Amino acid sequence: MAVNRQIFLCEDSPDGIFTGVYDAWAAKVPHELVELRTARPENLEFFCDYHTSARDEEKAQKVRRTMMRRLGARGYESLYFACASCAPDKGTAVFGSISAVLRTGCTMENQKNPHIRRVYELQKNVGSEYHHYLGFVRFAMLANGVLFSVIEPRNHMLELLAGHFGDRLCKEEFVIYDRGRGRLLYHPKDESCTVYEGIRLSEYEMEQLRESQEDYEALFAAFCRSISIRERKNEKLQRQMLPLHFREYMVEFHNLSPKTTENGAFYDEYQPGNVTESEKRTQFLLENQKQK
Amino acid sequence: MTEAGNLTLMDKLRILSDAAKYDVACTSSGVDRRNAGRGLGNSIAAGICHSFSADGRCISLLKILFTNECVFDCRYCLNRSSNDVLRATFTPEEVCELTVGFYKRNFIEGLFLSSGIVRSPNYTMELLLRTVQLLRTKYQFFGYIHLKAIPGADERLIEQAGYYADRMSINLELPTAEGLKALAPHKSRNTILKPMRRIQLRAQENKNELALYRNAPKFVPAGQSTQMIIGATGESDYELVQVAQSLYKKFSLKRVFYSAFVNVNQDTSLPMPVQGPPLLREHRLYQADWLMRFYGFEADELLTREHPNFNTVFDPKCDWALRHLEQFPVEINRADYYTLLRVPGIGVQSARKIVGARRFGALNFEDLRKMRVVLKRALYFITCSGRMMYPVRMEEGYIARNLAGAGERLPDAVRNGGYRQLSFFDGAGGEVWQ
Repeated sequence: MAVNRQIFLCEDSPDGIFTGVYDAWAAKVPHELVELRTARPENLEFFCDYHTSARDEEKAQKVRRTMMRRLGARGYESLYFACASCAPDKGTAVFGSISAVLRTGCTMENQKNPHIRRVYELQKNVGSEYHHYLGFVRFAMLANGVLFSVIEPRNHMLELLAGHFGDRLCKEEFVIYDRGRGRLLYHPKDESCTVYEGIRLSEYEMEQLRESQEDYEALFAAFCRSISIRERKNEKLQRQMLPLHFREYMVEFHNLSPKTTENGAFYDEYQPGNVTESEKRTQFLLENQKQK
Repeated sequence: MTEAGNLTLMDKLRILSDAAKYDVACTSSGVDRRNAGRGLGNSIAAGICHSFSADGRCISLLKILFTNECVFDCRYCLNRSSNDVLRATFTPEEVCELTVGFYKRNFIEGLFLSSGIVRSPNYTMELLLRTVQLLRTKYQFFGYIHLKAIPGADERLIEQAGYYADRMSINLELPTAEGLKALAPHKSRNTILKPMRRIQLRAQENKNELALYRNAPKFVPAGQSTQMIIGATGESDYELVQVAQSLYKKFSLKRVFYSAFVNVNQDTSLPMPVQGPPLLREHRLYQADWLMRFYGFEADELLTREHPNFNTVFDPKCDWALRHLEQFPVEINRADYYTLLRVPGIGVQSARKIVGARRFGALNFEDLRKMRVVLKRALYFITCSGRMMYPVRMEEGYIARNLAGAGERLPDAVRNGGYRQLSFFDGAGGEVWQ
């Protein structure tokens, strides 16, 4: 029995993974044989024992408390961020790290350990996407005053974003919709956030949301253009800092001429000698001013 | 000059953001503030970038001038009084509405408000003060505010504004007093440095107050910054880093920004670089700036009077290391944090990882590689448990040649199986004859 790999299937959430960690530890199997998976396998493999671990608040809380005590908030945070990753091996990495921490007494700084190194990588990956989304989420104000935003992140973002936006926009009613996963974060005025699963908006509804352009969006798009310096144009740098896949839902990149979208930048404003609408208007106003 | 009466909000935003774009400070960093149910907005110390403009610069704050009318006539500035440009002025309410409207939609992290000098410095400063006051009190805005102090304005006004802003800045514009006199006849060293000193002293007093009364109002919690124009006058990089260092040390500035000069006015008395703005020079200055702020370097170590300009091929740290080979190689398992930081190719992240991980056992090159410490440049300067990765000759010319070969280039000795092929052109590298 001891040579079989021990595979624990758990729910895809921090609590689910921590419960899996608890169950795997309690099962008293050799730790190097343990694997934690968050998705059901398509094919069962040979030489594996499968266990299902149902999410249990109490067990998760025990693991969380122990880790908080041993690692402090910083170290716990790296585990928590790793749990939000989309990588299939995250559960195993988290279990391996916790096992190393509790057995050898090391901290999450011990990057000689492959599991801890993996958690660090996952944390960095999730952390950078999270930090991107702090800036790149775009809300549109619907007619009823609700702020609505659509994102399509690679990793689980909603729970992480809830803390930030819940504080920042506490007096607003807002929604962040994770289109890829069909999950929705809802924040009512002055209350805490809730996540709803299994919500699918149709193409038509998405179109409706996108059509309703407000004044502020046009103002911001204009601002983004006029703030860039022609002599310093650097699209490569722009693409590096703001990768194209984020731009689908960012209003300042909408409604650009076909040539512009192809280049992914505000190309039309940069043709020397090519007078744009805004420049035409400026010239007109300037003439006006002189006549006065 | 009168103002066109029929400007829409869109026109004003276009004109006044266009006029503000040469100010480079666009960070929203330096202060952590939770909202905790008080109103709109909070602040994250790391800063958040909300978008990137076509020149690759971060858009974090709504960067605008209050007005581009100006009584000053600085040669480098688009809005100088002698220029014939369209003039526009916001009202305080318009600025507040725009800021709040953008902020709610998560377009921006806060407001960056600067201004041309309308009527007098005091009058202008009063307008700016009124705007931020309105934004903080009536609109209950707790996001980031970066406010320009107007040179020559009354100290009391500047001080009052400091209680509403997170960061204040006064642009030094040019690194030397002579340069300033030639290009900005209405500004002087005195009108720039005096308020800068005033803000510094007030911020220090405020720190003491806060130690005593935790809830005392905070004065410019994210500190002050400034900006210098690079390449408009003839100063060397040596002078620039010296000025920057003294600003950090004597005026406790949080940031000094460098702005590659763009001759927007086609002014004949100013340089008109053919290859565009001196971006590489600006880049090198920022690198040096980081070395001084986070890596423990002194300005004198980077450049000297005899060696007054940065190397175009090597970054300042590489350049320094090549001139100080006697301090290398460094032992990864023993060297302290600041010594590690001096190794080319090892930055703050890598140094932290190394210092953290070596507590649990000696590190070898394989560990470093797995920890994603980039060895491309570092391998010439480090040992692991007394061994270098490859046999390396500690000679400036040899290492420089290998480093300049950029990319993942291995030392000659390794690529040619430990021996170097003799060739007719051997002397061309300059190594044989020197």
